[in-house]
Amino acid sequence: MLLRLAARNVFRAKARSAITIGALFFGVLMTLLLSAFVMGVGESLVAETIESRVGAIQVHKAGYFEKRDRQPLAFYLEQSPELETKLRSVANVKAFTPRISFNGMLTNGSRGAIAVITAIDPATVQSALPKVDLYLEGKALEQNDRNGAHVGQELNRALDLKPGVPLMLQAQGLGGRDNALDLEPRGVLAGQNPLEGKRAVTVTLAFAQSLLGMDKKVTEYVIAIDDVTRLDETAAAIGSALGPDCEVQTWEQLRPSLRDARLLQRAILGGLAFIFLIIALFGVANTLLMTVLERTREIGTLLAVGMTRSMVARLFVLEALLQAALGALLGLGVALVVLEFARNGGGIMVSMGSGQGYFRMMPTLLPAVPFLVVGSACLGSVLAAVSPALRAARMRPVEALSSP
Amino acid sequence: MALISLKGITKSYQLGRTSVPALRGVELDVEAGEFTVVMGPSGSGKTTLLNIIGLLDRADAGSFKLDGEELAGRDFNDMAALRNRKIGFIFQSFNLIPVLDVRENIEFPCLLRKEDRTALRKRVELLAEEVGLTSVLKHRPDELSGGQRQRVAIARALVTQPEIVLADEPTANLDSGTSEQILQLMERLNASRGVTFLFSTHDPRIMKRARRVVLMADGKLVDGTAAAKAEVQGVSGLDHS
Repeated sequence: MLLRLAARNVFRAKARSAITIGALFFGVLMTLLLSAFVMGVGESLVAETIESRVGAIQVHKAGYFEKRDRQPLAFYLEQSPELETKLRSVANVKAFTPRISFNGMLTNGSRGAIAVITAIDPATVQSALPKVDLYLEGKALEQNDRNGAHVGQELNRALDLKPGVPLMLQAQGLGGRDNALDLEPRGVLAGQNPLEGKRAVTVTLAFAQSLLGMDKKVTEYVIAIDDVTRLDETAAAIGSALGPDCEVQTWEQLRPSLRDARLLQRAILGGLAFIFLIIALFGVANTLLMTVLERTREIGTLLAVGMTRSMVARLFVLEALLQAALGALLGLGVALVVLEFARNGGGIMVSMGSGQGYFRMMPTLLPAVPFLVVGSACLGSVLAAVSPALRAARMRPVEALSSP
Repeated sequence: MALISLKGITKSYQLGRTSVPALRGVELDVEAGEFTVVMGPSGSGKTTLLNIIGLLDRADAGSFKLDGEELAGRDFNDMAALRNRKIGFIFQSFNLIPVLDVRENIEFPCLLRKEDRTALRKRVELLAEEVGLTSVLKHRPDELSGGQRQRVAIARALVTQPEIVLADEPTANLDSGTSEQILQLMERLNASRGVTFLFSTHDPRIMKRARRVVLMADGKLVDGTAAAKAEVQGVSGLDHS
């Protein structure tokens, strides 16, 4: 009975209810869209980092991170079937690929530049890093193309690399002896990170192992996982499987700045959502207060025919809740439609700024967010309604009935 | 035993720093089935008296018994339940709930106490027939005439089968023809259902019909019948018999 009366009252002052419902609709819609787009940008960047370079998890020899600057190759892992079998046995491990990371000097015969080199296994790299060639302009490295290389855009320009230009990579090998081998450029890495563009070189694992004297040896394994929400759990399981000789790090540990940016992004988003909702809820409180004042005599009648104070309070809270639920659900519905359109269109192209191209962002609405936003709007409306509802409930029937 | 028994009822209102007495030791007994009018000049305290009898307001002092039950000192929810169970109200401005139709307005007090809907529906239909509202049960108050609205208010007041119906100037917003019909209806309901009616009014037609007139002046009851009759005659020029 209270619900029916509340529902009718919501549609009684149509213009005012429309404004209140509209405010909540807009608040919820903007919060959800903003959340989806900001999360989408964040998740796309994270996904891109994980799937193109870092992987979800990396395994190194214990001590590697502490001493890699002084002895980058001293902490290597044996590229052994035993280790790979152990990795495969861990639940949630989807794929892995061996790599060697090292530094060297890239020369074109007349000029040279320091290079940060990543040696990849063309046979397995795509399974662990499906976007490894995302910014590649040229031909992917292949297993049988042992001397092929990809060179960062700036580095490529600095060395004036062209087809047929001789290219040589010089590096200090495992035993401390310098070695140099010829390379053949196959493509340019047009990545979004300018620092990478100036230094990055990708070669095949076989080339690097030959150059560095690291036959069947690698500096790391890069691991992809199926369920990214079980990142820490999977890293711990890998650590247990491989034992204390190996150290296991997640992408959050390897790229703390990205993790921190994502946390900051979520905090800012939460703050914005809070502001949106607070504005909408002030609207609810204001509207309801006006309603109480306008319906004073009616409240007197309700009290006269036997309504208790708590029933009167509940009536006004219900009215606020119905308005909030209506506005919030409409906002949710429209937000879901807009996001579905965006997803069906293959995401949204986002500019990287200053001529660094675009990346495709897929709007991402975490499953908890709609519940949280709609729930907050409803709960907030109920809280906003408390004061006007109590004002209504505390009226003395005799005074309420004598109001004009 | 009187249905309503008031002993030494006092009530004052605070106007700024001044306390204005509205009732000064009112003593009144109303028997079940009476059709009684409370009359008096503006400010005499008749509305305050009806508000206290209707449990819409509290007396500062004195004893108020309804059907032998002392009501002084009851809490708000108790008073709400008593209003719902034992008292019906008819207001000058009808005071219907605008978002409910006629049937829902009549049912409303019974729904507050969660009465069985099937039995209630039947009772509402009978009552609507009795007060002449059958054809407009689905109408909203703003689709009704003043007379029809007051009939709805009467039906709402009676649907809970109360012991007393309090009517504050029930004909003040009605034209004379409609007032006459409403009065006849209330008289008929008083006779057929035995419901006690207590009015506050200036309407000489109600005074003429009342079986008892209670006269108030300066927050006190003026001795009963003789003064009241004289007042009625003075106001209306009609004989009161």
